Amino acid sequence: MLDRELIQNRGFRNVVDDDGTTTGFQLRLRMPNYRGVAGSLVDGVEVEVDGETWDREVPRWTLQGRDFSIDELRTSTDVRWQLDEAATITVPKPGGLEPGVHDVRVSIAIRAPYIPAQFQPSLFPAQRKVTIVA
Amino acid sequence: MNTPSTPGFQYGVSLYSYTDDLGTVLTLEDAAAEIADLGATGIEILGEGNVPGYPEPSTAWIDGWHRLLQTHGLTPTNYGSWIDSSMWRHRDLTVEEGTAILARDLRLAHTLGFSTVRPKIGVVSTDLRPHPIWEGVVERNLDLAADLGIVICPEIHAPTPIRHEVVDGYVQFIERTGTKNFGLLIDTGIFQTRSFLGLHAGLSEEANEEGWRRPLAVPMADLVDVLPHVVFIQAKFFDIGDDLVDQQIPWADVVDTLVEHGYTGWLSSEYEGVRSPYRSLEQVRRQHSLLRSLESAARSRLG
Repeated sequence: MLDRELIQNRGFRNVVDDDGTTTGFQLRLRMPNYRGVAGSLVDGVEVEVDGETWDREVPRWTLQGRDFSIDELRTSTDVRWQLDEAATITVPKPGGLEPGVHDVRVSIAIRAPYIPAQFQPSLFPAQRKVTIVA
Repeated sequence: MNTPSTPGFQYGVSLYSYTDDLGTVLTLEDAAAEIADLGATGIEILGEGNVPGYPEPSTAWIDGWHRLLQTHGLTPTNYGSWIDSSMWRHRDLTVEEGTAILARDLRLAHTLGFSTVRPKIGVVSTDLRPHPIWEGVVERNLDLAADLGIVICPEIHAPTPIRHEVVDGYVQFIERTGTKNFGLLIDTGIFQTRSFLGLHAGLSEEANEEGWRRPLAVPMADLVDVLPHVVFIQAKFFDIGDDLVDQQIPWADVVDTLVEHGYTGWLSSEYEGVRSPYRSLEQVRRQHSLLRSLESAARSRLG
């Protein structure tokens, strides 16, 4: 089962490319809504780690084993963010994050067509401390 | 006459009640066992929420679902679906696309044994008028719904009261088509008489004030007017105290009205209060205790 907290404990790690360069970090998020939604209704996530912020247009999304920019996700037709499947968020940051405990905050944006447009997107904030092991 | 031959309400629980617990601290098996332990017999789900692999669950999961129902003596009641009319930023769903989406959910609901499907339709105004494709989408699915033995039922949900053009439109649709496969689902949040101060996840303070939190206090007479069209009731609630008093929803009025006018359908618990771990489980038990005692008292008095 998933962590009850939206920001999952498992999967918080640096991203290292094939030639050994650390290019960023990843975290896993549980769907914050009460239902899963089509990927096109996902409107991005703002990520803040220890005071440094990346806006909703920046992080990349991995859903159902496939990788998307937020614009690709907004126009997608055949991928979903399910209630029981975590999304992996990849944030570019040369050198990555130091091993140790970090204060992570997110604000997940999801559109819900049954709620009037003036109140959209729905924003789901979450924060917790998570640890980069190494 | 509170005798075994007198039909009463049928009690169930919507898995929506267990939002944030289900899949994190509670398995589907746990939830089914909890519902059965209440003495309830109905289970309501959200297709996009509670079906792994939606919209195409594995055969193994479908088999497991039916086993679960049998083990716990549960009947599938209402299946929540969505017609996300503004699926993309650049264009709305067409009637054809919406029709295919509703058809897909009707078939899956039927496979899982459900008898009603509640499509939640995108809105085009602040007073929640449904996107105009709704009528074509539903009408094109009426024959399929009849074949599958399913009633399609949009929910009457705050901030839309019963006396409203949206509901009038649904009733006119029933009258125009003469269909038996479209009806109304009442969410008891429309009877709310006092504010509940909790915030609905994902909505701003402003949106909460405008819609979800504002007590509509719909009169019981309005419920009586549409009751012949009501095919399902979601027993929405927010908080029931240790003394089994609900400060927001006037359950005695609701239960008396339903008993007096012969409603014998489902009351499906829909807890929408504070989402702290395990709280929903206790709250649903309280609601079942409260509703059963009110029903028993009403039938003694009115019988």
